[in-house]
Amino acid sequence: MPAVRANIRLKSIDVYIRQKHGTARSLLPAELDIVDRYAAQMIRQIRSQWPMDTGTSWGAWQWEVQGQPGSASLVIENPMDYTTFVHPAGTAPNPSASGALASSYAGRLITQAFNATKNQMVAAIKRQIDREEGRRQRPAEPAERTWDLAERLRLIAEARARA
Amino acid sequence: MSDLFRADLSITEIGVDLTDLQRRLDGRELTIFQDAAIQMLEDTKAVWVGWKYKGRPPGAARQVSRAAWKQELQITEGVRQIILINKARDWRTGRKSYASHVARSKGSTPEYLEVLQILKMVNLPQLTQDLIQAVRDTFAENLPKKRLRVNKNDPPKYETMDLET
Repeated sequence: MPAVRANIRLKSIDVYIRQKHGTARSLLPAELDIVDRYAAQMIRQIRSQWPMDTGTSWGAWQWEVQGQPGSASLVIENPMDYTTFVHPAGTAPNPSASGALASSYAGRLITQAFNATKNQMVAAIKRQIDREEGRRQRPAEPAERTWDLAERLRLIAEARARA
Repeated sequence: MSDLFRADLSITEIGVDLTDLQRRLDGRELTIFQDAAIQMLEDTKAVWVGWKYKGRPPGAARQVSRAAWKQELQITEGVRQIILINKARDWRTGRKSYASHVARSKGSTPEYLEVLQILKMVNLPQLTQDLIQAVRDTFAENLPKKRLRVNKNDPPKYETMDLET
């Protein structure tokens, strides 16, 4: 009864970046934010159908974006070591004797959430890549900023307004 | 703990003390807690920008520690926590941890402490107020007491699956 990790490779995004940028590059903050937004949507969907007893594994669902050049990916995981065993009351546990993740309830929920999200997510990231690449000629940000509380609060307010 | 992982972050200081509440969170309380947690993650990442990458080649990885922020929720007992985690690995080797050392300049306060101060000052009071109100509004005191589960092995054994788009 292991923990689960789904590695979602964003290959079409890597290909698109190479087309538009000319070479591989890391995902930029605004692009990462879009992946985060859809990942949060996937986690909400998974949690909304996740059976709850103690709530430990409900709260342990998490995601992480990996935006390295040429290998952008999204990892959805649950580190509780009984995750593949969890199933709704009245249904059979993982039907696979080998415990294959994809056939477990967790694996099926991850796949459903991914399928419900992937097209919109990819389209939104590509639109953001277009915007970022269109801005490549703009002047760089000032080299020196004052990193005080007011500046950090301003960044948060801007991000909330964009969301 | 291996030296390689010593700078990993697992911030457990953000929480609402509901020790007197014997049951786990339920219903609208879960929605409030989850929404606040996701907002905290977004706010953390909003501040985690503007790094200089001095000496880093143009094609090398960037935004590594920003992307690595994630969270877990503890909704079961005691202080209900939003645990912020960062296990970023050095872009050159992919092995060495460094998240707790990230700072705006040499010798300045680590950035995670600056962020933590903001989350406690801006986000936590609203969460505390909303959550306590939701607990008062929830007629579920007869739900059974629950205890957090713990893994038998740390780190746990993972089963993986691969998806692609």
